[in-house]
Amino acid sequence: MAVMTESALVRRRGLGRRFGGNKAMTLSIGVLTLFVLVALFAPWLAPHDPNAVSLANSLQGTSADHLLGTDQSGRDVLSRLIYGARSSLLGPLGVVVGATLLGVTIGVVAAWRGGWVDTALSRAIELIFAFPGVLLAILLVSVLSAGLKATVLALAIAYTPYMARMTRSAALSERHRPYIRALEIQGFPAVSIIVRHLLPNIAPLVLAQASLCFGYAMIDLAGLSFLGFGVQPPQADWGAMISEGQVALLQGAPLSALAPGVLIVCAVVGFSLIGEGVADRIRRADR
Amino acid sequence: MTAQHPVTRVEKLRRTYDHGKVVAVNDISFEVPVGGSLGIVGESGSGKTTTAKLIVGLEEPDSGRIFFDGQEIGTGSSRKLRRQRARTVQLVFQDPYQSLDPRQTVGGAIDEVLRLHTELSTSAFAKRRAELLEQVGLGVREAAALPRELSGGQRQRVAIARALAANPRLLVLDEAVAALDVSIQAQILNLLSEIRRETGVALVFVSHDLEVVRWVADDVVVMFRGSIIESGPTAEVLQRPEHPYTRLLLSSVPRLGWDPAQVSQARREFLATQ
Repeated sequence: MAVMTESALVRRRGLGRRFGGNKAMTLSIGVLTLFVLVALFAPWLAPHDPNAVSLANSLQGTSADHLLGTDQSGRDVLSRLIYGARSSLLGPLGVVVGATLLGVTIGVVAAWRGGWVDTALSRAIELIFAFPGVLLAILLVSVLSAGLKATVLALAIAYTPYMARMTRSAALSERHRPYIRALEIQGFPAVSIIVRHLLPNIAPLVLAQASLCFGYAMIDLAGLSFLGFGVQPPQADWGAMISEGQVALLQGAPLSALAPGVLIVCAVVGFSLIGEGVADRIRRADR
Repeated sequence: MTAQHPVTRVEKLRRTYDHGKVVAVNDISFEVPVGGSLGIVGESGSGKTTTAKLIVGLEEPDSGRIFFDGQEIGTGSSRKLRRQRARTVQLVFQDPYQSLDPRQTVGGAIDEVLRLHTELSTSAFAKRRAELLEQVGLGVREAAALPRELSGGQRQRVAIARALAANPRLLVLDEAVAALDVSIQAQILNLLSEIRRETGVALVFVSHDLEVVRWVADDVVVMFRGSIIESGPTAEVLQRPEHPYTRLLLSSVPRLGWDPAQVSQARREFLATQ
């Protein structure tokens, strides 16, 4: 019985470390959770209609009615930030989910099959690597049409190599560990070994890489929105708001461009810290 | 009635690496009788682990044949062949810390193998599961544990239970106790002898440790540079070794009054004659 309580204690300590060990990571998780909640409950939180134009009220400073002032069309900046959280978070999420699904599939297949399959997939991945993501996005936007969907699709493809390369190397080292060998000898089908054993064991690594990619994807998407390829006006989006706020910046009302910029930085730093934190924990556990 | 076939017969097995430049296993032949136990001894690099891998199908031989119960199971890695092999021969790995999925509980690992290889009803399934755990001396608590919560000896018991789950005729143990403490080694070796007596499963021990082999193997083959240089009943070979290499191996076992320098000297002299 004594042994039993001991193992329970060990596990609880692990849980404690998961949430309390790394302060920066805890803070990041807190901030990002807040962002997600804001995005989810935007209609209840926003004090104004984010798209209500009122030219008479353009470029107002901070006031009780408009906490962060208005932009040059007289729209409430705070409301636009709150609604903008939706596309600003959903966009990178789409990129990361797409890149992860594609990248993990490619990486695992390459690692598992080896030989010419590995060579062919690795070369294909390098080919995409050589192609700048933003350029790919512009290309795709010109084929499809400007908007969140085209840019997300393009960036998902552009981010696939990062996920695929990492997954391949992780899967490769996992594949040659005796426990995978043991399952192979048992005669389990490859697919079930991969899904039930290999993937869960490399999942933390994939997660760390995915959350790093989330931050980068956010910057890229904001950049594309800034250039006018991503989210189209009048829809609220942090990247697009910076773009629209350029003029306001020069006219001495910096908040409409600055505020979304600050939020982007917070989110990107948050995701990077989480990614680093997860990766760090894996390194520690491996030792 | 025809004479009973040996569990395993290996005929002129050969495996080379690096396009034939390195001969890991050189035309070796041996038999394991039903319920028998064979020790394969040799130093690192003698080809004994490759032999183990060939038997269980982790590697394919360049030439030679392997029979199980008088029948040849094709070499290859198709799912059907692997499964057919698994029901005949199972491998227990050297490192009990590496051979179990770190995220799977002991019970889960055994259940998974039972589901793959048997079609038992729910009650028979639970019974078989309990029987396997009991056979290797593990309790309900261990069944619910993850590998990292167990000791090396316990993990090796799990690996043995999992290997037995497919009801194999032959269990190949590749240095299966080498990573364990001496006292735990003895426990595991006793356990294996017991399992052999109870279930009639034949054992192949691959080991560099002559004491281990003396303890558990009826017969022994001594390998040197990929070839079998001596074979016979264990007691006989270890009492009256005929080949100088076997004598060298015997003198290398640490014991009272043992002089490492002398052993190294003898080893150099022996290798110079080869």
